[in-house]
Amino acid sequence: MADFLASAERKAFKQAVFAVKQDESALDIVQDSMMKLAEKYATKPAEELPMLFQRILQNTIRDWYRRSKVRTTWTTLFSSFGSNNDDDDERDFLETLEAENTSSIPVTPIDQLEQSQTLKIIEEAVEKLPARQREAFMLRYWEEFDVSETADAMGCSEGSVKTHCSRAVHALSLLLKAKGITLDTMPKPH
Amino acid sequence: MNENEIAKKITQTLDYGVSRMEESNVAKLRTARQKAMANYREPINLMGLVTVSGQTLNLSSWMTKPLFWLPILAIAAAAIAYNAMDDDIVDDSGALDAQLLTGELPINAFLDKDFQSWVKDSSR
Repeated sequence: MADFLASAERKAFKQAVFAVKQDESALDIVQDSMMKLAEKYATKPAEELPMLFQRILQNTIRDWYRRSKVRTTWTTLFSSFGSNNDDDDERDFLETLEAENTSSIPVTPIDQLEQSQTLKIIEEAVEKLPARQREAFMLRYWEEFDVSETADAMGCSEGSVKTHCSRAVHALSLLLKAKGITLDTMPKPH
Repeated sequence: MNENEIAKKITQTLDYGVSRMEESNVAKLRTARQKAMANYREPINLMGLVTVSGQTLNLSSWMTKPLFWLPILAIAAAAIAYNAMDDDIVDDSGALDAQLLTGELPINAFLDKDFQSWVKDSSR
């Protein structure tokens, strides 16, 4: 269990960050998911853990969206008392700046700098995808689930998974092309 | 490039990002994992037949639940009631035997056919 969590936690965190766009909330989501897996599925064989963990993670992200919707409603209602939007904006801005600084430190040659810039653009493009398309893309291509496993984790049909994946890849290609990145010529990261 | 190739290129870059994750986030994730593992119990194999988590074997938590005691109390009450009924039957026959032996049984009892057949049956 510990080995599996250690191998899955970083990708899970990135997935949560892409979905909720806040590091702290993403961290809470990953921690909750890990706790649920460890508490409730201790007896499951190791090969079932990736699928179970992804299901828990995606459900926890959806719960976060639901809670956030409720929170937004209340914040809008009581906006005259002063909202936290300014704080959120400020924090996002600082986090972006920090991420930008650390990801573009020219410690190695120019291609590494280019890779960091490409990474940033790709991560932004993934963030911009609609939630279901991003979820399908992440599970199918990043987690390397097959179509039926992805459908199972997402709670939809295999046809929907194929559609979401196809649209996601198409949208990402267009977004990257608009930023001047051609995937044909993109170097393989080291 | 087809869909799979494009996806592969993108996920390779995402993997690269994961490998270069900020150390502060890596440390936070490690702490989160340790917290999660604190609630984890290694599966226990009982006589090679049942595999349960250590959590399930924690009887003290079960014993605080009223539903745990309900079937036990019901079984105990049923056993006590059955024993009491059994004692009554034994007492009845014992008392009759004593009355027969001491000749204290009313004479009409010997004239009753059902009673006589019962005496015969019980003497076998």
